[in-house]
Amino acid sequence: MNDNDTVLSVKELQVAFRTRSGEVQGVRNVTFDLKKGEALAIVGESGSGKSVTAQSIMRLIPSPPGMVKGGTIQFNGQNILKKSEKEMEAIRGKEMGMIFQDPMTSLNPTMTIGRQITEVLIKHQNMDKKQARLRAIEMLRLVGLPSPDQRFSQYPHEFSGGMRQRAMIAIALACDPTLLIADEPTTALDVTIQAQILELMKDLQERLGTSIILITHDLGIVADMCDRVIVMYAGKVVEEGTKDEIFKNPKHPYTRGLLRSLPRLDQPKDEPLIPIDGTPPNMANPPIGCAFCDRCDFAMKICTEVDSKMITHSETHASRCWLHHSSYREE
Amino acid sequence: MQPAEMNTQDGHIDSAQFARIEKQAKVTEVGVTRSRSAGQEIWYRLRTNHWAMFGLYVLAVVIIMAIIGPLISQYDYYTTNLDATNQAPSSEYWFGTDNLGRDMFSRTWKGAQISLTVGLAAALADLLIGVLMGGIMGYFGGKVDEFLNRFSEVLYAIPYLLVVILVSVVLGSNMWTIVLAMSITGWINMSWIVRGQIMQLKNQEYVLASRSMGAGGFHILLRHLVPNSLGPIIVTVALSVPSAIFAEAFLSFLGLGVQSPAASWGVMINDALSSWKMYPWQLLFPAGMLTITMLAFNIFGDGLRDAFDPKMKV
Amino acid sequence: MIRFLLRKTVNIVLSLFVLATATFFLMKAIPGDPFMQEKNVPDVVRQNLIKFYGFDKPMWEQYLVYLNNLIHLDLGMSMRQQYQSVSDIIARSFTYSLQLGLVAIVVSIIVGIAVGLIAALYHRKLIDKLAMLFATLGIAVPNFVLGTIIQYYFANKFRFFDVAGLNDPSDFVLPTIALSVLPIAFIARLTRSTMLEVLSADYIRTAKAKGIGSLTILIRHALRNGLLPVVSYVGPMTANIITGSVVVESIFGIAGLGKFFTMSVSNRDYTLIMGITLFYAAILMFARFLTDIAYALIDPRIKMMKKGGGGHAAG
Repeated sequence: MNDNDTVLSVKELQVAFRTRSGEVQGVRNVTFDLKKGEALAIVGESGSGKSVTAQSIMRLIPSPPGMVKGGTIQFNGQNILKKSEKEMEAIRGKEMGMIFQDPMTSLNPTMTIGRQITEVLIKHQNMDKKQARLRAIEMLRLVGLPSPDQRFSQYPHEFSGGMRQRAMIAIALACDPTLLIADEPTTALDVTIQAQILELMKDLQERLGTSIILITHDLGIVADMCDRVIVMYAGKVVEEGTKDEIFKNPKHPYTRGLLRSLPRLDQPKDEPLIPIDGTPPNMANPPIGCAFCDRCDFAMKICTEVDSKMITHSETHASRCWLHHSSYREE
Repeated sequence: MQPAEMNTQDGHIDSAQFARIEKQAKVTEVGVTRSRSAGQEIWYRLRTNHWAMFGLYVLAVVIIMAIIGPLISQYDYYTTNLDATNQAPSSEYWFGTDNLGRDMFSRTWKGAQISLTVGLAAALADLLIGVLMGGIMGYFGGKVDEFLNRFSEVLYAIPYLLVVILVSVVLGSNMWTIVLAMSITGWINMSWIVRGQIMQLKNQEYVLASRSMGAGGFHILLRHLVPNSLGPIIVTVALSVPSAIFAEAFLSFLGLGVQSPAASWGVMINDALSSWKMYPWQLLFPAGMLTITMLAFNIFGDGLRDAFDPKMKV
Repeated sequence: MIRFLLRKTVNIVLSLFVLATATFFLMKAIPGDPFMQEKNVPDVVRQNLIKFYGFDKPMWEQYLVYLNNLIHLDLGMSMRQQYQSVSDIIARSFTYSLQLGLVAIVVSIIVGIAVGLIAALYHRKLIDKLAMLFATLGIAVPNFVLGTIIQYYFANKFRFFDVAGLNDPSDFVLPTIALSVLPIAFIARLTRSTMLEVLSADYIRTAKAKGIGSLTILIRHALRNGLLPVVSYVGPMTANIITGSVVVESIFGIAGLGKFFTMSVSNRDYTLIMGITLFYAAILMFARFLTDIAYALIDPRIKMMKKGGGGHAAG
């Protein structure tokens, strides 16, 4: 798995937040790799640790209260967690870009769109204002904004939500980063705009060869643009596999639950959508066994006592569930 | 992961471990933790804010003393005693005496009565006029709003204290003319807050809903808009009391305060200014009380604002 | 932009007109004539005085004369300061008040922003708590008490500064402190709370994700947004400083506008009261006018073409 193609390698990452009600475990021993040009989706409900994982890679976890308790993050062969803040500044925006959920608030309201793009170019690419302006306009054109010359000197409030997200993408990709992290990039947008933005990201990824981590709670958008999927629950990876493996042959009851709650075109009309009962556990005091077992239809005695480790199903497919242990036999 | 655990996981596990158990999660219970009402929630947030509660306690003490203070001293606040002028605080005169031999303890608490009454009355007047005007502006909108808004903008252009001074010059000074003078422009802020709140709430779903169900205009205003605007209104009242108290003291400083023998803190401060270097207690008690009361009102008002709008608490 | 300016200007003129009318009739509403208090004025002299000031004419004529004079910036003669016109008194005394006021405004803005910024950056640390304690005290301590006390300790007792007057730069120190404490406290609180809000805003996170250094983020991204409310406070601050100067100038014996205003109030010099009130209101409106323009220039979201409506900055 660890060939030269690997752009990002997260190992045993643990992140916790100090709160008044004790230490909340945000991310518990998360491990995954990302190859060059690959699009990886991290799926989970809110609080599953997917955004925290993404922000840890950018080293954007607000500290205090957040802190990385263990693990390593190798990015382009360098350990991100060992970098000083100054060294990180040189990496952020240049080698990794990030897009956030709410394009309405993620852009500075008192700065022109153009300036917000040139800022990152001047900082990382040693461009002068003129070069940066040309490049920024090129980026605006690339993300599909009409009349980019005019758009350059406009303010965010003159943009629609979808256009702002396009501008965010332009900022994130301006320096041609190796890695693009998109944290729920379409959640705040209308459905039709969602499709456009995803289309754009997919297109740019193919053209620029950028590796993408797409953070989302919506398995529906994953199918369109990702090669591989990681499913997270309560701070842990519960299943990992290629898109086909996850969609056609889900192994973990949680993944199955997610898929069952998702409307599909090929599903018979009378088949109901089934929600997953219950709520995720309190992460200030996580259960010792499987975190999902309270909500699981297949819960067994062992699930409450010990959590399973990742059990491999194929070279690319693995899940964290006792149902797949070699000692388990269907009775 | 501990090695021991890994071993068990890799090796054979007894089949008893794989016995099915009952699923724990029932149908999702929503909002179990939200049993407190909005009012209780606000009160809880206020009560746990030590700083604000400290302000509240201080205010309670000042108010109680304003009521009973003049009664527990053996001297009243107006009798002059030329044999005992400018006495330092002692067991006889707890806060000392002024240049006419009047008991400072009685006078200070009598001053508290006047200052607090002026402050509360002015805040109340602002509240009534402000809510009425703001309600009219916000509810009717259109031409009425435009006219009243212009009108209040014009009034607002004049510094508050200057209006108070002008009107006091004309009307003469006693407690009630001062309150009247203050409420001439004091209501404007309140009316804008109410207006803004109503404008904002007017188009919200639940108001539209009750309107579509045929509820009358005034009914909607009372039933929905006022309770929802309550937070900012209460906070504005709480913070306008100290500014009215200050305005009264300011008037007294200019010699436009209440007339002798009655004394507000401002009048006492003004009386003390000429000779406080020799008799510092004459300044210390009224000025100290004024400062403490303004401070208490301000921190209590801040606490109220945080309690009503926890988003603003940072 | 031009329509915006025009609308504001019309508003100002309208406000001044209403105020002028109101003060005129307020003064006329006072029972008796202004010279009643002077007991040993012979009747003849008094009649002459009344004639000189035009008080024998019908009310509407007096009003029209007053308005006409006003248009020519003639505010009439002072009734107590011998042979001096109100305009002259204002012109002379305003130089002092303007100097002091400007110094106080500049000091308030700089110190207030600095204190608020430090408090926001060291949020929940000791220095934040101290700054907020100072700010709360600054709002609560009446300026006339503060002025008197610092004058006593720093001028009378330890003689660091002159007790009174406004002759050399060191004379500015104490009056400026007395004038600025309240606005500093307000600005510090305002800056702190908006900076805390801005610093946790999404676009600051975006800037971090772009690899921008934290100092640059603070200056380029946070300050501009964080200081917008401070700009809108400049109007109320001018009002605070005007009313503050009334007290402070009396305490520190500065022959400024505030001192004349106090004097005119205490000896019922009606023309002077009216004149200074109008003048104060004009300054305040001018300050608000400048604020509106500044705000519109800084915040691109404000459309000056559109009608102002909606959001009034309370305060």
